Amino acid sequence: MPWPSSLTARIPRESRMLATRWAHSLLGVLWGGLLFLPVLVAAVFSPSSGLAARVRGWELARHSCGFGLVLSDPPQQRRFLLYNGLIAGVAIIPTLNLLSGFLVVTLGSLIQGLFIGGAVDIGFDMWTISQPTLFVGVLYGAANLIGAIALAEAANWMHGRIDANFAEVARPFALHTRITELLTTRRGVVLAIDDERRRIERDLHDGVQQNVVSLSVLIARAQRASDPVKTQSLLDDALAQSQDLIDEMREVAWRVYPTALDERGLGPVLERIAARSPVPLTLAAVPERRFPPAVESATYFVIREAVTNVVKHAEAASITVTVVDDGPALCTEVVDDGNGRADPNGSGLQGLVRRVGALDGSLTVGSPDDGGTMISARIPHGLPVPSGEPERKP
Amino acid sequence: MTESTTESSLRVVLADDAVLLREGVRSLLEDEGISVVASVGDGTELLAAVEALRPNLAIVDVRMPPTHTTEGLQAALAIKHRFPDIGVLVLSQYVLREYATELLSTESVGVGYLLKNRVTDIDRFLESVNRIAEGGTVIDPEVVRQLLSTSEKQNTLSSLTPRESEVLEAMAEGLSNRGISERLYVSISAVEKAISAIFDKLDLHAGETRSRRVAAVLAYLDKS
Repeated sequence: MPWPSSLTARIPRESRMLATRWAHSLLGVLWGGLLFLPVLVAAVFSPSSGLAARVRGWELARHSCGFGLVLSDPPQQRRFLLYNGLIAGVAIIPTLNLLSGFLVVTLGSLIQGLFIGGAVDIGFDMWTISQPTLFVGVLYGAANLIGAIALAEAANWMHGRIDANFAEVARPFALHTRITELLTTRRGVVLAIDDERRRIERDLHDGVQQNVVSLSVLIARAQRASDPVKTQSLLDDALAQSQDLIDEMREVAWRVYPTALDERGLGPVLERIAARSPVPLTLAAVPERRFPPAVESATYFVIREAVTNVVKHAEAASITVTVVDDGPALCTEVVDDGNGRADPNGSGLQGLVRRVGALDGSLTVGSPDDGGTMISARIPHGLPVPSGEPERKP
Repeated sequence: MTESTTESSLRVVLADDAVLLREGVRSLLEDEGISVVASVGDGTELLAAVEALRPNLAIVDVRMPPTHTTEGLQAALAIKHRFPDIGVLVLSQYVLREYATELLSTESVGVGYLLKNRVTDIDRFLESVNRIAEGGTVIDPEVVRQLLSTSEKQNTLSSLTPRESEVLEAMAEGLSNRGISERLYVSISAVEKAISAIFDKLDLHAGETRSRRVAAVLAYLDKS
């Protein structure tokens, strides 16, 4: 549904969806206020009677339009109507209270403030706000509205719990939440890709490209030197440097993406990280089986970035990496004994959060001031649990 | 070439965070008898070295630590601002017109902007180094080519013959008429003719000094 384009500020899709959801929930509660008596009465009659069937239809319509609860088949039990009717009856009273508070106070103080002018007296049992400003009126009204929404959400939750006892419940609104989540992670992916590109550009610019230029300087000097001995030694230098360049090139390519990850899986690639880490690195556990490529590469990048951070900043004496398949998800832990205080909002760690988030995973950073950092990631892989005991080493 | 460089007692400060490249350029210059009095890895060290040693020339990489963006360029501008007499040659990995024009719009005396790979054409590189140290201006041919190819100037500039474009490019590099005639293997009078044709076509009046020529051409090219 496109927002009217006459509004210069476009409201983000997520907040629109949230507002829609709240409006629906409030509607559901108000509708319940009309329905709760008929529903309770119908609950007394036999579930198969015509009256009970009709009222049940209304109640189901309310659940679906108001709360986004769609039941697979209409429950025939009396208790269904009884419980829902009770909840509706309980919810409507404070909700009406809060909503009317919102309408009266906000609209009243707006009208008073904007059109009539002068002070507004709001009297309570014990005290009076003698001169509420527009601000106080709006604030009080907003608080009422938020309260009403919170109640409506609670009612939504209660109805959902009750319905789940009688039939299978589908939640179309859950889709909204999911869309919101996906929009956020999609943005995250784009940012993560840009971070990665920037890093690659830097690797190429600061490493490979500089080496190529310095190599060609050597060759040019060799060409220019009049003394054959000097030419020879410059060419020897150039040859040695071109070998270094090839190594550097291979190293950069490997950092961009280790093809061994696709061919041989996490084990060998992590062993290479362990072998090259300047800080002693222990691989406590790595699962034997293969996982979807996206899961393996995200796990690899989490570990690599974490290890890079430790080497760069933590002044640690040892790193321990653990990768465990806990059934639905692949869990990774990188623990060091360094000086802690890793910044979870740093660009490197944020890139990891986004990368893992894009796969519905989660990443947490524990880095106390008194030392040691633990980065743990959990990425669902969607594979069936293998027969026998799941691999779980200490 | 060799005689002219040995008799010049240039003192140069080098700034580049890529150690291999820095050492390469250093030995290249020292081969030619130019003394490299300091070679440093970032902008702050560069400014300190220039302050302390007062070289004739600073050769500066654009990207240096800590942020690897334009520290070198900023340092170059700072040097130009505080010590107008010290030549500054900025070496860059890629052509960025903005960098070149920002640098050249300072005092325009003794500045240069070259691509890093120009270093390997040693003769021309040394020529540029000497020219900048003497207060001349050197702009990378690639920058000139980019300036020439911007659409607004297409109409006027497309009226230049290929020879005239070459001459304009060489002029922007700060070459004298004689230099141009040597570079392009044509007579000096042919160069003079080409230059007056260029000034006619670009509606410019020829100045007397080299840097004014470059400045005039650039001012014209950069006008958008």
